[in-house]
Amino acid sequence: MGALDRKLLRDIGQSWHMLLAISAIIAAGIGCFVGMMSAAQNLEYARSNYYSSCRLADFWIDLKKAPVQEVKRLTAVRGISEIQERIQFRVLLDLPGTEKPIGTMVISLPDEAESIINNIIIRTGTYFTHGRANEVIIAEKFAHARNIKPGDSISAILNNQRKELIVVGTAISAEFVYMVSPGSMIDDPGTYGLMYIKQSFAEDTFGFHGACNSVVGLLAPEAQQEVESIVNTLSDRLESYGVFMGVPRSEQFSPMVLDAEMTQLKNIAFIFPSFFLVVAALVLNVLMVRLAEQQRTVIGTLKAIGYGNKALMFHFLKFAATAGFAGGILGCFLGYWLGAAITKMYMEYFTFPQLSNIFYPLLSLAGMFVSIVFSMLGTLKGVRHIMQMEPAEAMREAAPQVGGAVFLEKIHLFWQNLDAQWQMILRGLLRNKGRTAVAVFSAVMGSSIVVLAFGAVDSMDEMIHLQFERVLRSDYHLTFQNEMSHAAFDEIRRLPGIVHAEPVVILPCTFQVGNHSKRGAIMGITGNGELTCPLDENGDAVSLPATGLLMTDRLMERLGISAGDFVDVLPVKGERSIHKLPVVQGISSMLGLVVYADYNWLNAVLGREKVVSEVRVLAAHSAAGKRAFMERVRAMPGLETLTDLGEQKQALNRQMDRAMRSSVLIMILFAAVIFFGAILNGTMVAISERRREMATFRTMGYFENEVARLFLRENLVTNVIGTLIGLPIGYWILTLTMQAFVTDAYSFPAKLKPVSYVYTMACAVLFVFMSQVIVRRTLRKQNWVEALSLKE
Amino acid sequence: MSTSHVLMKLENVHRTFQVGEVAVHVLRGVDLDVYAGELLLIQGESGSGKTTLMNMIGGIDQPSQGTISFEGEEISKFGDRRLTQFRRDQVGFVFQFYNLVPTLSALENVATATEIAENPMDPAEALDLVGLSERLNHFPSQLSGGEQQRVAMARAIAKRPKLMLCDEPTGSLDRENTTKILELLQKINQETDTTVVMITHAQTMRQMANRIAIIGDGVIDRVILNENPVPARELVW
Repeated sequence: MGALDRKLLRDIGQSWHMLLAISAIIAAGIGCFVGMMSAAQNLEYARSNYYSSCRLADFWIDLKKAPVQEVKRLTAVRGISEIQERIQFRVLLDLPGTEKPIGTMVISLPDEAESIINNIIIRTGTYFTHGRANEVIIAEKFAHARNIKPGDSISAILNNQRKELIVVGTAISAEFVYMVSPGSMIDDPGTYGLMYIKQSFAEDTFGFHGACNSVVGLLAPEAQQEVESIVNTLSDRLESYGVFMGVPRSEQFSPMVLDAEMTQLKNIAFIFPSFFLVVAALVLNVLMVRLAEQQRTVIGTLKAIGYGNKALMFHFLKFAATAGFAGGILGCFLGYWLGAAITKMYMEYFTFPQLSNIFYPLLSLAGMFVSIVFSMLGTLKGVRHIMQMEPAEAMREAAPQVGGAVFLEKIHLFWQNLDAQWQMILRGLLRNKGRTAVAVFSAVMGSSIVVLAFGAVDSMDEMIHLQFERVLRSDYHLTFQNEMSHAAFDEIRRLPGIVHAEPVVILPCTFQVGNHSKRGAIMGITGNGELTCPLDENGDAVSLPATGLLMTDRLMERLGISAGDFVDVLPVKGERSIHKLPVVQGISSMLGLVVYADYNWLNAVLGREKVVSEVRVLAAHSAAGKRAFMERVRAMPGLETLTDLGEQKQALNRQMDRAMRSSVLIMILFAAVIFFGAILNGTMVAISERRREMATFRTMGYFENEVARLFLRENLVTNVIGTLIGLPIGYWILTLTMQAFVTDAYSFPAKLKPVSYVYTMACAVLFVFMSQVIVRRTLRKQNWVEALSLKE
Repeated sequence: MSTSHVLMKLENVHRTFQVGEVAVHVLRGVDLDVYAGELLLIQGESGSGKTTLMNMIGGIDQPSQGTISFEGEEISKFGDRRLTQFRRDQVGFVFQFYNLVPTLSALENVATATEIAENPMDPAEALDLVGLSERLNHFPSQLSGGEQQRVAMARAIAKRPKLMLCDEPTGSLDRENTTKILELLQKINQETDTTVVMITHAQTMRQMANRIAIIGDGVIDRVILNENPVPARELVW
């Protein structure tokens, strides 16, 4: 090892605590990057295995009823490699111990196990046996939540007939990696079920002999790009059988959610770590400039005895690379752990046969590379400083800092009321502009992360508040399988335990404007109704127009229209004629691309008798009233789902508690790393630079804590200012983050409660005081007498 | 000295420093020859430009005007790379405040020079020459001022330079240590034929030099020739 490398090792030994602080910041950044990317890759790996082993369909077509023979013929369509027909219905389950009937999706499977599209994987029990017609296989998660086991029998209302079903097994399917009840957003496994029944049993029960209402298919590899047009072709061919919906895999709910989640995760994996890496590079710059300044005589001497700029540059680069290397290694370990934690969290929402945390060497290499690159960036200023030093000049003592008045001194009233210590602190901060800027910037980044953490919770709270207290004010939604006459509404309105009810008609349709088109639905609600209250983007109530549509802003953007424009509406059921309807105003919707119209007007537009698709009710809160209501609901014919909004809200809140709070804690810890790292480094540099000054104070009779207070005040000034700037910046990042999370299915409002601003500031101040403990210890270790006689 | 060839030649060397808005003219036309193998003293008042002149000779600074040649090659035209190479190959420096790397031991400090030289001594041998063979692994903070300066000298001679430049090498030392350092310098000068250029305030040291260049107000006032240099041990203080 060369002498210069020995010097390097000892320099590292002397500055290890500062390097460690910087490494910790880098590690936090690289940890986030590696962790999030690992989790995304874990998901991707599990997904691709699962999809291919289950032979997940490339497209789905839902229709009213089509002859199997007709469907089989579709195999001849160019690009189709395999077609499968099935029968699927939404039914109600009656489980012992629950008052409420539970909405459940029923899908038919071949009587005997064979390789089909959307294969299931049996987890407990068996596939159907030959013995009984009424055997069912239940989705594992639902079975688990409801404590249903093979051998149990359950009661369900299938096609308005109560049937006893025998559970033979539990299973999972790639088609339902993520499953929520219709109209919900959060997976609450006990509240919505999925079960598979024998094909023959389905045909008998639903009267579907030789017919199907669901078509799934696989495409030839070369036709994958043309999935949209193939789905359109198939939908056209089947049109006379009442096609409700034809979607490619990318638009099918579960694959879409999974895909969006992975994309978001990968995006964040690139954005979030950059906070840390930029701070680390800046803080490292401060350290390197100080190191270069501290070693100017040594550098000058080495240059004088013949070391070139290149050799010295590498020497200092190696010093910084140590921080990058250590940070990278720590980050990879942290990332592996974080990847496991995120993956574990996903396992709660997504169902995979196997989802495990894998170590990705290439990802770790990339992490190492990035951390070393950023540490190199962190040396730029210091190295430039070194390169520019002329040996002759470098060996002379550095000229004393230019010590003119700072601008604050011109504000006499302010300046003269400060004590000498404050004047010294403010002068120091203003003269070391670069370093002060780095300290402030680090606090901006740190506090932005804290804001982001609190903001995520506040935004979710706000979303729950808006959705369940402002927009949807009902207790239950009763959704029918098919549209019912208005009389059905009157019947429900008079049920015991109902305080108030409003009818809703839902018109599934395609919206079209020029080249833009989007599948969706219009919801006809009661004008001046109490149970459904559309809001605008400011959260103010929007009154329902007597004619025309209220459309979610996101959908208007998608269609490229604004208020006052007309949109073509093509119903997917019934008479397929185009209606040209005016869009009156934009609204904001957190759940889906909602479009509202007046109930009576919408029915009139369709030119038919008034029909209802759903009834929204406010129920009596007495136990007896509720029981009476549920009893009647269970026996209600044609009911598809009963949505309990209270239960949904609780589920959301539970999920918040589970997932959000722990991520908030982790984010605040990460922010603390930035605060600590920057504060400690800045203060250590300041101490080393001002040893003689501090020694003079001590000689003059200052107590240790008085000297320490100078640094405390300095850190308070930079961090409070940084946090004050960080609050709006954090809020801005929160807004961008929430926008990034927007999909057709969800949008989140960006909300930061006033108290969260206070919490963020409190965190920043707390971090300053906590780092003061280490500052005090460092000060205590200083040899003041030596510092006094120190030759710089 | 007349028999020796000119190792270094300075012609009309000027050096101006810009201090704020004021241009300080430190050297105003220095003409000086440095002969191979001589021990040349540079003396002058504080601020007369001694150190600046020394820096020019050692190639750690460049003249604003004029030429400096080393063995006929004009080093004042050199860019940073060649100048660095010149220092690396030809020059050994000894400074008043030793300028040792505090985190390296005596041996390692010498190694900083030997590792980049063409034909260096063994660092231990160099330290032996300055009488520090017992203190190879001591760090600067564990050495006395005189010892630190001897390490600095070992660092300078270890790469066998043609030219050794000493800026007040005994400025921070007591009489005893000063004598030891001067003896060493003389020994190096005489035994290894290394040219030594030394800045000093001490008039006494004129007795041991071959020539004394007196600098005043940025120019060489006069050059005094000393036909019979005395050994450092015999200097009368």
